[in-house]
Amino acid sequence: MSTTPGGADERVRDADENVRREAVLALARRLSDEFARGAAKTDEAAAFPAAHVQRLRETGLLGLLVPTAHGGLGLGLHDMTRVGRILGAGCASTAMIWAMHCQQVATLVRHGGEELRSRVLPRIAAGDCLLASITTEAGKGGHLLSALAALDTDENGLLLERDAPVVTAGLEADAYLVTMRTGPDSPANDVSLAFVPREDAEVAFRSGWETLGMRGTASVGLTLRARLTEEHLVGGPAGFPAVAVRTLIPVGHLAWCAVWLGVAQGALRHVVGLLRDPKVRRERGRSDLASHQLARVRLRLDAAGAFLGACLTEYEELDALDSAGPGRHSDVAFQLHINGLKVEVSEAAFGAVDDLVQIAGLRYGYTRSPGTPLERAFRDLRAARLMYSNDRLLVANGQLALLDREVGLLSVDGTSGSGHAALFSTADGKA
Amino acid sequence: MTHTTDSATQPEPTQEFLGVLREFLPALPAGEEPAPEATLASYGLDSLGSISLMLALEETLDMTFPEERLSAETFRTIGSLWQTVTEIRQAP
Repeated sequence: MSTTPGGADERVRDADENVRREAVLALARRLSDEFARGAAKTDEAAAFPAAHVQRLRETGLLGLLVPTAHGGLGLGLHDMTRVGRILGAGCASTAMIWAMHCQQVATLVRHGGEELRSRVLPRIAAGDCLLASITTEAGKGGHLLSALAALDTDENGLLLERDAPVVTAGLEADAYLVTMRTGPDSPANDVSLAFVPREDAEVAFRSGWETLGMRGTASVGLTLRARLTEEHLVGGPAGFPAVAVRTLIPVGHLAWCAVWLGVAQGALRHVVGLLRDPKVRRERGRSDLASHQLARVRLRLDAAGAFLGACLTEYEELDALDSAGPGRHSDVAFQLHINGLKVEVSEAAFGAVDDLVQIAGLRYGYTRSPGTPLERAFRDLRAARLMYSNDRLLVANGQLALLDREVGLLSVDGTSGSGHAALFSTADGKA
Repeated sequence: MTHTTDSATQPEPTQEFLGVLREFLPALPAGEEPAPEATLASYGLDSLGSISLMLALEETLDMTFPEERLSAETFRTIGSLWQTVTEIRQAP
């Protein structure tokens, strides 16, 4: 819970959209510099960056996607990715906590019932409600669209009881969005998404988070027990597949990719700074090889940034076409692009930083140093391929690619060239 | 056993077809006959499972699903899928 009154400055919140956007980007840059100063400590201690998240609460950034009518900043996904990149360059863990939060907010804004929205969104905007995601579950092999633990019903409503092995910001979040099998007799693919306020739940700590990188995300293991009503089901009973295809998956991939790209961009900035230092240049001498390597890194990040931009545009175009249900978001071509984006950016960002370590060398690249924090970026970005594993996405995309006979490549204006075969989504929205 | 569509002319699903189907319906209890009118989703088929099922049917039955038949309606129930398979195989 925030200790000081939170939320965006009233003057910013009430300004027109462009003024709001500029103010938010300037704010994000200031915060990113602040976070960069605390990032080494967060990493070393593998501690939740409480002070950074407090700043996100009190400056209103938790409410970036909350509509102005609910007191939020009312900005969109382009702004989310810009802010994600800026914050990522400062502290990867803080930025990822924020990105995961934004993914949940987008889901709630789009699919929450009216009462839930009007109760929760103002709290998010005021900085009082950090959201966390609970979709992983032991024994289901990383299948996002399936669940094992089932909601139970008795005379008092719904009962949710579940193990949650990896929950980013699990102990610090004020509410969770949790996937559950809809009922004890439902098959594993009949999944509902429950909004669980922390104050209504029994949350027990199960396991800590001691990892190679992304050490500040405090992605602990928990058990969760809560009593709910149907009003807490985001997208309604059995509504999760439609919610996931429409919002949770694409917004998640866009938000995470923005953060990873930001981390790599920050690392490149450090190396460019290093190579511009006359003293370092004299030491190193002129090298075509170094130029070549640097050009490759820059190219890789520019290409990843362009891919991110094109996917954003495609997503928003599909959104504009269809304001309800999974609609065109289950198109094969879009699925290929949004899954491919996650794979490509997670590899490109890590690959770029790996190359930057090579360019900077043992002294500036491989050594833990506050001036060029490349080794931390390297460790942080190693998580990118594992988080919602690329292996699974590539298996899916390999099958999807067989369906897209026209080969509808993503084009620069975000539209794909082929027809729009839907991914066998049924009319009731279950993809 | 009755079909929801065209039951007068529609032959029963073959064991070959049902055998392929079973592999992709994780929620169908072993030894239980699938009901033709039940949705494939209710037997645990998800979207990626649908693609794998389509590819397996093509291999086993030596056929190709034309693009326009790859719809939610085709993959809704066992009956609708069998009917589509029959129609594709009967097409000249």
